Order: sequence, then structure tokens, then C-alpha cells
Amino acid sequence: MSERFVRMAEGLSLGGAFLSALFMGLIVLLIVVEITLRTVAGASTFVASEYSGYFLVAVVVLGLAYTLREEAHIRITLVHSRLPRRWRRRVDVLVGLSSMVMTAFILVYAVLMVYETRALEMTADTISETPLWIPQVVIPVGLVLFLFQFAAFIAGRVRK
Amino acid sequence: ETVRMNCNAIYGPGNFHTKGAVNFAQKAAEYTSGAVVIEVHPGGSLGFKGPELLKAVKDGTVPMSDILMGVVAGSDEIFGLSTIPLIVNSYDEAKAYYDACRPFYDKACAKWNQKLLYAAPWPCSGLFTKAPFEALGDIHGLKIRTYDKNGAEFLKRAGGSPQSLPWGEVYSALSTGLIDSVLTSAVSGVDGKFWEVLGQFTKVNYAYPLNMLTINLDYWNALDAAQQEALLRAAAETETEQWAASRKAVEDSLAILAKQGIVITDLNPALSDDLHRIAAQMLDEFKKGAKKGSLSALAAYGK
Amino acid sequence: MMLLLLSSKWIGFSLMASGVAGMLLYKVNLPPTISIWDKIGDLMANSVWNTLNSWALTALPLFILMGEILYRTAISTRLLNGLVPWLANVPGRLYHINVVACSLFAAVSGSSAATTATVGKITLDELTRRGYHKSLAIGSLAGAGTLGFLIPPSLIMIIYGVLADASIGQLFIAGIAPGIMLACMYSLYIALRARLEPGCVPDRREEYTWADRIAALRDLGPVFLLILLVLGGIYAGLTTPTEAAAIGVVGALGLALYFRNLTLRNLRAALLSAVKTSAMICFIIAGAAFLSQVVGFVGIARALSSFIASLDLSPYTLIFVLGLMYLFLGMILDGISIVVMTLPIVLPIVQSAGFETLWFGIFVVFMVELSQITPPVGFSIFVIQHIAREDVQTILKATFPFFCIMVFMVVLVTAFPDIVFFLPERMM
Ligand code: NA
Ligand code: NA
Repeated sequence: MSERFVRMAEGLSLGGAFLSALFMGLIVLLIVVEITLRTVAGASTFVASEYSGYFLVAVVVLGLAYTLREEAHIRITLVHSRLPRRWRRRVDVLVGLSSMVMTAFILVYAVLMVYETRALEMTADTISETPLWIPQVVIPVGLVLFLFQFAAFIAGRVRK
Repeated sequence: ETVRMNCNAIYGPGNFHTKGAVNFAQKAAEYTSGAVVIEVHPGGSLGFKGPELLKAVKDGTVPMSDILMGVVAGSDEIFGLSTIPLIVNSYDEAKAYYDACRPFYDKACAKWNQKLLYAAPWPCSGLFTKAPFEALGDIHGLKIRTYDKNGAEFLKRAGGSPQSLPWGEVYSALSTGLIDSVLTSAVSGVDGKFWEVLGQFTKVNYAYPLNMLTINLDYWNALDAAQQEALLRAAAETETEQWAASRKAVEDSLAILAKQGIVITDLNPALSDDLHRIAAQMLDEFKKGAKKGSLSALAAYGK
Repeated sequence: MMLLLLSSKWIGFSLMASGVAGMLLYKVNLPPTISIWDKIGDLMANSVWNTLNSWALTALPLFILMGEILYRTAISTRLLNGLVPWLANVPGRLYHINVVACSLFAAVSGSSAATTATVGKITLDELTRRGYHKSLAIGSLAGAGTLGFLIPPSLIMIIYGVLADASIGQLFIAGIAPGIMLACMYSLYIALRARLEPGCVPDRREEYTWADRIAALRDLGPVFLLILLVLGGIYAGLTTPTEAAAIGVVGALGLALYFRNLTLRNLRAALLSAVKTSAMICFIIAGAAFLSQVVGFVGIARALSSFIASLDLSPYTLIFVLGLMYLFLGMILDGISIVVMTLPIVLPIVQSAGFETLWFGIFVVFMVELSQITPPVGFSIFVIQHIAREDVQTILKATFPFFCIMVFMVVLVTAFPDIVFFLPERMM
């Protein structure tokens, strides 16, 4: 059961990373289109700087879980690396749990933010008038993936 | 017991809206004999950027904030009224327009769980260019930096090619030629030291965009009646002083620009007619899609 | 906060947790209708959204992606191969590569994190593979990487220029001379180290003729082409720095295609790796943004700088004390927050003590650069930790000499302000 859960969480993380990579590609594409339009036709997409900001949000939050899976989030292991292995695992479970609580806390308020932004019909102050909840909605999605990956991280430490 | 409140200010400490907020805070402290202490945090140092401020004050994330109205028009359309191109042409008209709209602004703020304390205009905007701007044709193909969507739409219809750039990138973009003109106030022109890169300023009096100071209603209701009255008195005085300061800032900045070698001109009548025609067209289109609140406010001003 | 960081909790979370603690400890005046947890939650959600939704920050992942593509294709090896004959007779040889590459790269990127990440990704592994000691390689990377802020374009200078009402163009030009001097001092130190400690440079000492060097230019060509593409775009007025980053990505892809290194597997690995690094850095940035918001609300930075103002010091003592204050703040905050939070109070004091705004701008840039390599919150350290997979103590030890050189440079600039004024006075 826990085996299957870990595999599912890691699969989800990888899925998030692929989406994140896709958005990174989209930023490049968008900016290249903007530059080409400007140099060739003297025109503009009028959304390049706005949308690359939105895409950056997606790149980061969707990549959070995968980064954790790959153990690429940085922690200071000054003390940690000197502990005996058993204690190291306990500390991992502890910081993993507390980080999970924090992620859950942010998740609640991110959902509230998206919900309110939508209910209040807030749009960007730009030509596109994009409803802001759309680019914001990736934040809760990314945080949910992050939560799953934390659970998998803890499960992995408990099992060993 | 002292009530302490943080007030977010978007612009730097030297900006006159920030100075206004500081001035208001001093008056508030004075009139409440130190019972209400407002700490102003300039330069967006509390971490807010602008468009989210209406919501941030609504939720009490920040108790008070200086808000550029046009930037929160995406949250509530009515706050875009002061950015409609060429709707007023002088400070007196701008004040009359504001007075007509004020009840509607108050209502909108209440809907967003906040109270409008005072509002004052940015120094009116004009066009900084390299070559003289004498006819509509001169604008053709110019890469103009503008600050909002109305400005972009207006310049596009006038034949220019508007660019939206963060203010921080404007100077280097001008010096490298990424843009060649800027729609902004004389005051910002002085802030950006435009004489190093540009030569002309045309007094288009394009808009008098308002900045407002609002306070979260939960915080407001937690004050006692005497404190509220004192704050209102401070707000009314600050408002009068800020309007005067805005006017004076334009004169002072124009003098500095002239001294630094920028050629300053008025719009010639033919060009003025052309631009007003475009503006009238845009106003008509805005009214077609506008909500009731904005329409009543415009009607109250006779537009 | 130190405790949180030492607990081996992830840095982004440690910063956020410190922020939460700060909010809880500080007496925030709240009306009865708003709960402190709502306020904290709103601030957090807001700082994640607001910090990441940024056009200027977009340059960061793009430059990282460019570095990843260069790293995964043969171009990075070519850069090293090309520089070998040129650096072969210089004492310290390839150790200089970080200094040279960072100086070049700083001229296209506005931030130190991007400079360190891109160059480090290309050079660190190559250097270790060629038998160079990792510690000097890491140190020179950490030191030279911070040139990203000093050599224009520079995000920090733009922010300072706007806040301090100083000419950004002049700031840009003023940064060039100190930047090049600093790079030279790094190189000098490396050469000295190599002389005094011959063991740290690998033995293989082939002789190179001028013919070899000319031939090596062909290997260097692609990289210079790329720099020209990115730099040229900015200085010819065709692109902003963020756009230049996108062009850099396309250029790197084009080169990889030309050299037939561009496999689907390479591209996938480069993208995923860039996602990892970007998510890691940006998560910390979001955490730092939240903490900075709290520090703003609580008023720590303000309290500190008003305290200094109250001391009424002589000009040089003032700068010394300010330097210490910035070093301290730089330990716990990111560079942009430091500038934004202290400048309103510090600048008037400095001006009244008789220092030029332009000069102080460069001083502040140096302080921000130092903050990049001081623990516990130092972005260059985080980036290098990520690339080199070494622990913080090792990195700090390797970085320390370069930290000292930078401090020495700050002293020089203070004693001889003409280093700053020399270029702007001639060019504008
Ligand atoms: Na740079
Ligand atoms: Na630091």
C-alpha cells in the first residue's frame, strides 16, 4: 500500500515537472515571438511580459514536488550529517512533517486566494484583462503535488 | 492606549504621494494626541506591488495603503475612471470630476471593506519624445512606453506603437533605443533624468490619474469616534494640500526640465482636436461596456 | 532562525517559519474581526504569487536553461578546450576560467544567482575532471559569480537608481571599473595561490604554440558568438535583459543543433534540470520575500538604521558601521530586500555626511554582493551547493579568501572614490 502510494506520488511529481518544463518552453516561445514581431513588423503581442510572469509561477510551483523528489531543495546539513543514521531518519520525519503542515497551511490560503480572486472577478490591469484566478490556480495544484511528495518522503523514511 | 498601524506606500520616500501619506500620519498623530500611530513603509517595502492592494486592504493583510486607482481597475472597473484619456484638461476640471465621482468611489471602497480617506492626482501626463510632436503623423511608428491599458489603446489608435515596460527598465531602454518616447508626467521625467536621453516634452494633459489612501474597515471600526473624526480631519487637510502639491510639482518639474534643456511645448489646436476625437471615440466604447456604477459617476460629471 | 536553519529543514520553509514566528512574537495591532493566522496566511499566499509573477525574475530560469543546454552539449567542453592554450602559461591556469567566464557572463545577466548558476554548471565538473582542486574552483566561482550585480546590466543598480533618485545609466557605467578591478584581483590571488602551492594545479603541462591558440579560437567561437548574440541584443537596443535570456536559450539550442549534440534525451534532461534549479532558487526567494514582508511589518531594518543615525558618527566611521550593519542584514536577508528596506533611512544620513549618491550606490552593490556569499542566507552559496553537491562548510571555507578580497575592494573604493567616478565623468 505505502509502496504504491510512493510510486503514485513520484509519478505525479514527474508529471508536474513535465508541465513545468512545458511552461518554461512556452516562455521562450512567447518572448521569441514578441522579439520577432517587434523587429520584423514593429508590432507587439502586448502580453509577453505579463504572460511570462504567469508562466514563471507555473514553472516554479509545478516543479516544487519534483525538486523534492530529486532531493534538490537545499537544506543545511551541518548538524544532520553528524547524527547517527537512526536519528537522521527521525529528524527527517520530523522536519518532513512540519514542512507538510506548513505546505498544507499555505495550500488552504492559496485556495482561498484563488477562490476570492474568482468571486471578486479580479482581472489584470493590462490589455488582455486576464482573469487572475486562471494563472493563480496552478499554485494550489503545485502545492497538492508538493504535499503528496512530502508524504512519500516521510513514508520512505519510516519504512527503511 | 496607542493604536499602531502600518501603511503601505508604493513609491519611494521622495515621491509626493509618499510624502502625502507621511504628512497624513503626522497629522493623525497630532490630532489624536499620539493615540493613533501610523507607520508609513515607502518603496513597496512591505512586499506589495499594486494590483492586489484593493484585496490586501480588504482582508486586512495591510491595514492601510496608498493605491494607484488605475492599477486596481481590474478589481473594480470604477477605479479606472480617472485614467480615461483626455476626459479633463486642467486641474480645476480634474477636481470637479473627482468631486462628482467621490460618492461612487466611497461606495466601491465600502464594497471592498475599506474606507477612502483621501485621493489626489498624479501630476498630469504628457509625451516625452526625441523629435517635436506637432501633428498626428509625428507619432507614427514611435515606440512609446505607457503605463496602463488605456494609454496603450489611445496611442495605438493615434498611430504609435505602445510598449509596456516596467518603470525600472525605462531608462536603459531609452538609452539603447528599445523605446524612443514615454507617456508620463513632467515629474516622472525629472525622476528619470530624461534630459540625458530625450529632448522634447509636449503638454498633452493626457490624464490626471488618482492615487488614494484607504483603510481597512475592521481597523477603522476598531477606532473610537473621536479618533475617527481626527483621522477624517487629517485626511481632508492632506487632500487639499496634495492637490496643491501636485499642481506645484508640475510647475517645478517643468522648470527643471526647461533648465536641463528639454524643449517644452503646448499641443497645437489641430493636433489637440485630433487627439480629442480619438479620446471621445474611446469614451463612447467604454460606456457601451461599462457597469452601472461607472455610468452614473460619468453622468454625475455630465459625460 | 539559526536553529530552524540548522535543523536541516528546507531553507524556504525555515525562512517562512521564521517569518511566522516573527509575526506571532510581534505585537501586531489587530481588530477583533481579523485573526493573526488569517493575516499570516494571506501574506504567505500573496508573497508566493507576487514574487513569482515577475517579468524581471523570468530571466533567471531562462539563463539557467541556457546554461543547462550548454552544459549538456559539447559547447562547454569546447569553451574549456579553447581557453586551455590561452591560460596554459598563466600561473593557476584553468582556475581563471571562472573569473573570465563570470565577467563575460555578468555582462549579459542582471543577477548574480543566474551568473553563478550558468557558469558553475559549465565549469565546475569540467575543472574537477581535469584534476583541479574543487575548493579553489568553488571559491573563485562564488567570488566571481557575484560580479553579476556589479558589471551592468544589474537588477540591484536599477532598484537603487529608482529609490535613490540617481541616474541608472551612470550607475551602470560606474560599476564597470570596480567590476574589472575585482575580477583582476581574483585572478591575481589565484595566480599567487598557484605559485605558493604548486600542488593545486594539475601536472599535465603541454606546450602550446601560437598556432594552437589561433586554432583554439575556433573552439571559443561558438561561445563568443552566443555572448555577442545576447550582449549585442541588449546594447543594440533590440532586447531587454529578460528577452536576451530567451535569445540565449534559442542560440544555445541552435549551436547544439549545429554541433549535432541536440538529442531529445539531452533536451529533456536539460529542461528537467532547469526546472529543478529554478524551483529550488525561486522557492527560497518566495520564502525570503515573506520573511522580508514580516521584517518590514516588524520594523527590524528600520530600527537598526535609525539607531545608527542616532549615533552621530564621523563619515568614515559611519561607512564602517553601515558596512557592518549591511553584513549583518546580508546574512539573513536577500539583496533586494536589504536595499529596499534600509535605503529610505540610510541614504539621507550618508548624503549629509558628504558622500555622493553615485558612490554609495556602488558601495551598496558591493554589500549586496557580499550578502550573496555570507551564511546562512546567501544565494550564491545555495546555488553552488546545488551544483557542486558539497556541504555548506566546505563551500564557505573555499569562498572565504574571495570574501576577504571583496572586503578589501570595498576598502579601496572607500579610500579612493575615483575608482567609481573615473568612468562616468569621462563618458557622460
Ligand atoms: Na550584470
Ligand atoms: Na547572506
